[in-house]
Amino acid sequence: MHIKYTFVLQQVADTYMAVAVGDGAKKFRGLIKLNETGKDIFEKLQQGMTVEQTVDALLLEYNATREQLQTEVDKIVAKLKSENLIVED
Amino acid sequence: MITNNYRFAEHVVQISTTHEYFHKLAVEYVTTDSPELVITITGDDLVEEAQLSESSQKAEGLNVVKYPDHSLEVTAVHRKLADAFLQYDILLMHGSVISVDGVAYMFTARSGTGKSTHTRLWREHFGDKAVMVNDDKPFISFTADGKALAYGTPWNGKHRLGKNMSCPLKAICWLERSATNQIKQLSSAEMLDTLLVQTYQPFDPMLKLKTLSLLNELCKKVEFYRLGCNMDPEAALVAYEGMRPK
Repeated sequence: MHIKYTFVLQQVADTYMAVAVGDGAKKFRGLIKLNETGKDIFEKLQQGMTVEQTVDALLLEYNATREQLQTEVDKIVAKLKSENLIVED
Repeated sequence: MITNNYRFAEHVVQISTTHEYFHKLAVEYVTTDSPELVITITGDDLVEEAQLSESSQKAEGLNVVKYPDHSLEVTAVHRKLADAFLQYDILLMHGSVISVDGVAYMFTARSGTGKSTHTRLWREHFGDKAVMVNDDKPFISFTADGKALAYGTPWNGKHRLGKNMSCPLKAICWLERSATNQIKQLSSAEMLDTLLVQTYQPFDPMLKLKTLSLLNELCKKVEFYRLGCNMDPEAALVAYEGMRPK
């Protein structure tokens, strides 16, 4: 599983906006709004980490349980799927 | 082609169009100084502008109105200038800017809410103390000492209210109709969706990122409010008292 297109993140107030750049820019013109945790998850997925690897990495950074972090990652993946931005490998 | 040089938000732009209409609207901004930017509106630009106009009207569920070429030229200049001005850290927003005692306030709202009616109440209450900077599409820039500035532009709405001037922008206020008049300060996060909708969003992804970074600056430099208001003169006072420098 990976994120379609390349995205660049820009902070506005306490939110991060992901903008598709390069070839993806013409195919996805919207903005993906992410909070701080969402941004961390998005960046890991974009680096090519699996859902499991992302949860493992977050466990080192966040004072939260695996279940809590799994829920957060699932939310972001669902959000990206709803925008048709996930490709299953 | 008709060509003139104009100074908008401290930058000189040479603008060429086929029709005279844009140049009549922008006469207050004419300069003889040398241009930093050149904008030429071609037939292709008008075709593109007509398509964009049609698709945005359809998206809003409106009956499609076909605008004449001279009007399309005015929006085409606006689009090109808005893209080009991002390189100077200038944002183009949709809103009605009024100043009192040299301090500017921007009102923004869904179309038909009564922005123009509300700023008319300010002019009626404050008389000569209130100056309309721009009634539709002001430019916003940032000063080295950390202020946001609102500039008048020729894109000043159907009532053509505005002036070739600039003024420090203190606050942006989302306006909603309400039976009673009340104002509440909002956080940047609460205002974010409104800011995204009311700011010119370019198609180019790099310019889009630049726009977002300028919006981030704006969030640090101005205050945000939500005004629930009716059409009584009191609405202007409630808004002003809520936002004025204390």
